[in-house]
Amino acid sequence: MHEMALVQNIIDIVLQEMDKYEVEKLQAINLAVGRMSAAVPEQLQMCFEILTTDHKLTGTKLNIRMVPVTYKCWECEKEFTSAGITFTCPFCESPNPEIIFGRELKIESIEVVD
Amino acid sequence: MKIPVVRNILEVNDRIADQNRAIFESSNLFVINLMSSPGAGKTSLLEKTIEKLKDRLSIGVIEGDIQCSFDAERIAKAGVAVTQINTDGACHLDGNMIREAMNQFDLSALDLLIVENVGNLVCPAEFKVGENVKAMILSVTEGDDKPLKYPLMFQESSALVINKIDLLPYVDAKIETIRDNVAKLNKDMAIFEVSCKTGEGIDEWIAWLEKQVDQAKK
Repeated sequence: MHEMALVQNIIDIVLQEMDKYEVEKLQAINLAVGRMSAAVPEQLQMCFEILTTDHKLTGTKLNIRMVPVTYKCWECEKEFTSAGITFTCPFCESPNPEIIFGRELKIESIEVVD
Repeated sequence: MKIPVVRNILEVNDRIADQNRAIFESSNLFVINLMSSPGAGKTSLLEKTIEKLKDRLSIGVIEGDIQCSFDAERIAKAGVAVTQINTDGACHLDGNMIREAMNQFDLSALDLLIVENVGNLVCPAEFKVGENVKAMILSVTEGDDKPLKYPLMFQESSALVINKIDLLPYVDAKIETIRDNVAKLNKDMAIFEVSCKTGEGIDEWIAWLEKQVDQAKK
């Protein structure tokens, strides 16, 4: 359960950005979370709710975009995505394709109340 | 209105870990981050490692546990410098905790610093602490399917110690299955089959570790 630590980092970064853009209230925070990262979206939501009680970010929505795992084959150099882990290239059946996306833990954007 | 941010959630930890790395490098110190589930044998492997290496290398240990200092007491008995971190509930060590703990040592007097992470096969994999390499232990009693269940840890680590091989006759786990599953995730992983109980296989692990320390010193 390291989601609490991740959410604390998210809040710190978002508060910095709000300061930078002189924003008082946020509608939403948009995250990209790779399926190969060790973060669980439901737990991120729960921790966010706990850590933003009576807070500048109370009521701000946390949108989580799950990023599928994208592989690149060493052999035929084709790229493909997979819902889970895979160990063979679906095109040439070479073993152990490289993971190029799916490890991210990123804040992509914040949305300001218009 | 949408404002693009594009910042890594772990950027603060990564930055502190990189600073730790720079401090370790300036002290010519090799740092290993040792991870496993609880009870796989991290402290037992450390005791064996210290016993074999303490005459040749100056070793320091940072012990990470949620509570208590049993492990630090075991390591202190083994005769090397040790500092205990109690995370008070946190499931992993991070760069900042190491920053505080490392100040307890005279880093320039050490050759090897071993960080024993909190027992957990998930969370520690995401948090760099400033190590040269990550290594992990899997004991045969945990089952041979663990690489596929906890892929991130196996992908992040450079070495795997398969511990408790003296128990192989009594469990269903097969070494070959562990090796096959690891090869699917991390084909470059160095694998050692050991029993901390009987001492079998420890010398290969020690030889690998010593080589890593030597290479880092060059």
